[in-house]
Amino acid sequence: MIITSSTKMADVIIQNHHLLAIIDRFGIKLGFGEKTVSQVCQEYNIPVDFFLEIVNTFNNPEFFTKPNMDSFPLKLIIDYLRKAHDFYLNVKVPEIRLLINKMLETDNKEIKKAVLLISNFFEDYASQLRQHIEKEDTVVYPYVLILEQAYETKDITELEIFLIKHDFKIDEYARNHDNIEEKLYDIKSIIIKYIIPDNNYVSSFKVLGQLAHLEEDINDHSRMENKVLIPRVKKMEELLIKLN
Amino acid sequence: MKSIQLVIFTESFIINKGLEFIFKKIRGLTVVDVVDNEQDLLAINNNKEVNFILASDRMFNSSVALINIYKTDNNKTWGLINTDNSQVNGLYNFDLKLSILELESDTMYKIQDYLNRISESSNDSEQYLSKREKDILKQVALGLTNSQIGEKLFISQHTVVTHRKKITAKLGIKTISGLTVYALLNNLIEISDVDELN
Repeated sequence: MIITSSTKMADVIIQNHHLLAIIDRFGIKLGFGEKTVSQVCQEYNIPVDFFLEIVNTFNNPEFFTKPNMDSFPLKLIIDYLRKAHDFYLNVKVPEIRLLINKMLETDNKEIKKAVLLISNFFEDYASQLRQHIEKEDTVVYPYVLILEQAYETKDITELEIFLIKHDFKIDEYARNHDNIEEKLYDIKSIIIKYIIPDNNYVSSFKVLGQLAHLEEDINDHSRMENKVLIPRVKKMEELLIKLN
Repeated sequence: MKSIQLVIFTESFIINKGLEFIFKKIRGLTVVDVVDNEQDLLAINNNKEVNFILASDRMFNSSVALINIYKTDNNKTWGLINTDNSQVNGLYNFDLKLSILELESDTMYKIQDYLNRISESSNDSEQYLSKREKDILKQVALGLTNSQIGEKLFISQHTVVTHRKKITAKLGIKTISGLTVYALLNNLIEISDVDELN
């Protein structure tokens, strides 16, 4: 289903409840009655085109082939990406940790040993995710915003100051993404393949559900960074180099 | 396994287009071309990439060019699409048999099942790690680099990389942390081995 400005906001969530986490990032609260997407966006002061682009690509990654994303100010995109970070670190990771701890409540030593390994693996993943996100929030995103400003004003003073402080290349940062996604994938498949639950199978189902949700959301997030943010950054970098 | 490079050959434009549409939705194979006459078939057959031909019963019963390719080319796999219910000579071997009259679910099931069967990871003897692969996995899990593993086991770095690719393909685990957890779960190494490293 393609969501349009005249789609009812309730239907957006009814057809894919994972979009709840997305509308939350825009600050939209439930209880919208019969209001349409454009009415709700207006109420919350959200550019409706941007909202549509985000929810439609989440539903259908092919949607990204359209160049609409290039017309939005980067600040808008970065605000959205930052809120997603907050959701991963402060909602999703603690939720999954809690469920894995539940899985540890077993008397079976073999299972306990296995879950403990998963737990350590997850903590290792979580700390890498946190590091990556902190780097994005404190270096990458500020850099992008300063770059956009320099690009618009053709004044690179601030950009130069920033680059003296931070040794940073957008290419390196792009490569770092894959590894984080692969770890999450491995955790999920190890639980499915090798952890035999006893009476706590409900917890392992829940863990898997949460991991899959996080994976889906993070993949969407990386797609946006890799296909929208990084290409735009590279384009601006090239043009600025030419100008100077 | 090499991915499937498919050519579809039937007498009907509509059937060709329909098959092409269906196959394009499936991962793990590429439709190189759809052809409805012998000339085009011979032309596309020169493409060395083509490794699978799906042809109709009518073509198997009437096309000399098709039968010649079947008899002379040992590097191809063959599929049959039943279009007019005529009998095809039982001497031909088909890896995939479809019919235009069957249900969508049956067609999709047969195609997917075929792809699963030929993929490396579902092959029984391929599913489990060999002794050598286990040796290498142990070293990976213990945190050794490719060159360290090579030195320790007296093999080239290149061989280590090849083994590692196979291990990842068999287990579906991509990261070193994931492989370490696998090795611990399957008692290839002990937790104390890992702790010593840290």
